[in-house]
Formats: sequence, C-alpha cells, structure tokens
Amino acid sequence: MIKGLHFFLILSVVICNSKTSLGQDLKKDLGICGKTMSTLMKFNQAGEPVLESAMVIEANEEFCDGGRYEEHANYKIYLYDQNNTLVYDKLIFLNPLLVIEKLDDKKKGKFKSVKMIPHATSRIVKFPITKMMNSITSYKIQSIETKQSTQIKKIDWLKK
Amino acid sequence: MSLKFKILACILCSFSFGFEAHAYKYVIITDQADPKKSEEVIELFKNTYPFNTFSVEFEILKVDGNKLDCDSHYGIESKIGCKNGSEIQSMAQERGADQVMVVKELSKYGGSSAVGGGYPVITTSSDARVMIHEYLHTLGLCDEYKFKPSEAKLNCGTSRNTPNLAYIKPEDYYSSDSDARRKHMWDIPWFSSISRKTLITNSNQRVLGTDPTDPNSLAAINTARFPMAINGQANQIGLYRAGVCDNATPPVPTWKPEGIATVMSDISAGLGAHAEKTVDKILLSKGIKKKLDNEVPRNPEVVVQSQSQTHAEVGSVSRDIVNADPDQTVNNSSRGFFKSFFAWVGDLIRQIGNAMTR
Repeated sequence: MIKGLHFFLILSVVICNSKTSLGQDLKKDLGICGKTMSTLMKFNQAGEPVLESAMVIEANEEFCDGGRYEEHANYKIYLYDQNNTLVYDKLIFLNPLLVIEKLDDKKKGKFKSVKMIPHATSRIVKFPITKMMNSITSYKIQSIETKQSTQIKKIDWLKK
Repeated sequence: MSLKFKILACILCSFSFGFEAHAYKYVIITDQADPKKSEEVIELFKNTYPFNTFSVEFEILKVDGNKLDCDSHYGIESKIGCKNGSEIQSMAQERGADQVMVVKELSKYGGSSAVGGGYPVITTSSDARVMIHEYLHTLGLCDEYKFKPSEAKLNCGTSRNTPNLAYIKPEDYYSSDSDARRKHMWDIPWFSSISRKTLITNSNQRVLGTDPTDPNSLAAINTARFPMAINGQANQIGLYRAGVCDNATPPVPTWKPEGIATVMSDISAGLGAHAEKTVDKILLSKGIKKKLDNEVPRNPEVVVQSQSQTHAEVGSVSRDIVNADPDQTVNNSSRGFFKSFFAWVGDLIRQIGNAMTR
C-alpha cells in the first residue's frame, strides 16, 4: 500500500511538471504560488487594452493563484520574462459595459431607468511570481471573443 | 508498514490543512465622513448567501470627495458614474485589494447607482442592497426588469447571452419538451441547472417557456450559510419569459432562469436559487476560498483607513477580517503545491461521490 502511495505521489509530480495536455489541466487546477504581482488592467473600448501599472506586494502570505481561470472569461493575459519567454497566462472576466441605473424610490426596490454604455474601465488583476518565472518584463492581452491580441508591451513597474 | 503509513498520512494532512494563503480582499472607497453606508454594505455581504460562505477581508478606505469624481455624468442629471476609475483602482491596489467598491456621498432623490465593468458604485442615499445588484453586474449578470422603449432601443442591440439572460427566438411549434430541449440546450446558459422534471415548454409542450409563476413574488433573502431550497414550482429553475427587451423595435424575446423577481429586477428580493449558484461558481473561479464550517470571525470591528495614512501605518493596522488566517511568516511553493494538490484531490473525490449518488 505504501508503495502504491509513493507511486501515486511521484506520478502526480511527474504529470504536473509535464507539458502534456493532462499536465496542463492539472496545473490549471493546482495553481502556482509566489509573491503577489498586483496589476491594474485598463480596458479601452476604442483602443487596445493596456496594463497601466504593476507592483509587487510584499505580504506574509504567498499568493496561490486559484483564480487563474475565471468563469465567463473574455480576456486572456500573457506574461513574458526578459527573454521573451511566456511564463504565465490568466483568463479573466471584465464586464465590458458601464451600467448606470436609477432607482424609482429609496424605499421601494424597483429600478426606474437604465443606461448601458460601452466604456473604458479598469480592474485589479493579481498574478503569482515565482523564481522560475525570472523577471517579468512584458505582457500581451488577447480578447477571447475576437481572438485579437495586442502587441507585446513593456510593463510599467511601480515602486511601493 | 502501518506505522509508516500513519506518519506519511499525518505529514500529508499537515500540508493540506496547515496552510492557507491570500484572503481575497474587498476595499470599499467612500467619501462619507461617517462611513455608515459602507459598514452596512459589509454587514450585508457578511449575511447574504453565498458571499457569507467565502473567506474574505473587507477594508473601508475614506477619501476626500474630490478623489471620487462620481457625480452626475454622461449628460444625464442624477445618474452616477465615476470618471476617475483608474485613480480609484490605484488607491485600492495600494491596499492590496482584489475588488474595489465605491460608496459616493450623494443625497440625490432615490439614489443612483452605476457599475463599471471593473467595480460597482452606489450613492449613500441608496439602499445597501443596491451594492449586491451592482456587484452582480460586475460579475457578469444582467438586469431582469423590463426596459423602457428608449432604453430598449439603446440596450437591446447586442443580444449576447449572459449567465442569467438568454436571447432565444422561439419557434412556432415544438413537438415535445424534449424537442425544445434538443433545439435550445446550447442557447440556455443555465441549461444544466434545469431539472429533467421541469418543462421548458408550457403544459401542452408546444410553446417555449416554463409556465409562469407569480411574477410579483420575490425571491427570499437568504441569510443562511447554505443555498436556498427549491420549493416546488415557486422557485424552480426553468426557462421563463423575462420581457427585458419587449419594448425594443422589433421586440427581442429574452429568457431568465427564475419565474419570481430576483435582486436583478428588484433590490428588495434575494438573489434567487440560480444566481446563488452562479455567483458561488464565479467566486470560486476567482480563487476565493470557502470558509471552514467552524470558522468564527476573530476580529469583528471594521477598521477604517483614511487615505492620508502612510503605507507603514496601513501595514500595522488590523482589518475587518471575516476569516482571520493564522500568521504565515514562512511559506514556500511546495507547501502551496501540496495544499492545492489536496484541495484538487478533495474536489475530485467529491465529484466522484456526486456522480455515484446521481
């Protein structure tokens, strides 16, 4: 039984380090842990989405990215190191609409009016950084719907 | 061999249970001097399923009014939207936030609210429950109330399915409910949540749409830490006419998962069984961890930060922690790996169990 358990553990490590589809699927579920890289993504309706800024947050806790594959994701973000090697990617959802609503009355719960505007917006997206990723220097954002990608761009690192 | 196995099992268990990393953090930015509305919002989230089952932190960040450029915009008086979204997000980012919310001091009639794709906004004169409605927009859910003709003209152009709204043009005739299911299963985002016993056609199985329930009844507000029970026909998940775009020219048929009013049409209502399930799934996919059943908030007071505080001060101030994690000073990837691995194994076993009991 103990041999079986050893085999199971070794096999799982081998699979998780593999680049096969099974290995990739497992990595998806397992996530990767590291320091927290907090970024501010700005999504323009007219122009390309951009990563406005990035900072490393020194926290006691390690960031294990269990949110690498968000439900209903509409963008995919790729991170590259100084050798232009892809080191991480993440699927995120961003509601592309600004919804402006007015209530009928403070006490009642009905909505009186609504206006939906395609609008540039931004959100915070966190990534884990590990030693294996080297120095992250650039990024690319892809729209899942249109499959269009931005050019690879430099990351503007903020010092906290 | 038995002893070896026990030792190994203990080591593995300590890896899997002794480690918890990165609580998801909401930062509520407000310019209200006494941040009562923000505190109401926090209380509401702490007492609403499924938000109350997740391990999250809340922090209120007080700022000057001029830092929240969220007064009447977009050419319409009394409609609120923030123009300085990036600055708002940056302030929260410095606090280590994962999700920003904005509570703007305004006393406009009825209260207005807005949601940017990235963060929800409400005014201090709005009911705190409006924040739930707006946050659900941020998560991708749509309104379920009927738009006026002028609104429908603007808003019903993009017929894109969302987790709680489907745009389906019904056929004139269906030979049976199975026929309708076969034809529309890929058009209904919540199809897997519809019980086999629930018709997506009327009682004679010829017309698309589950027989309507009382549209004036509201989904119950669920403050428990478990999902709302499905009580027969009253709140069963099906395919109900939503009427959101009935005033468009020509009308666009829309469909929703519940026959009763939910918080997406009336803020007095609860989320409803379907939205509860959907939100739970979305929050899990964002990597937010579930609370343990026996978890008790360790630090119940809400800590309010003012923007003028230095980073060093911020780091030393305790926060309103729903789930106070033990201090983690030492950490490494392998522990995280094992924790994630065992979480995955746990999920796998649960899924197999569910499949076998089905």
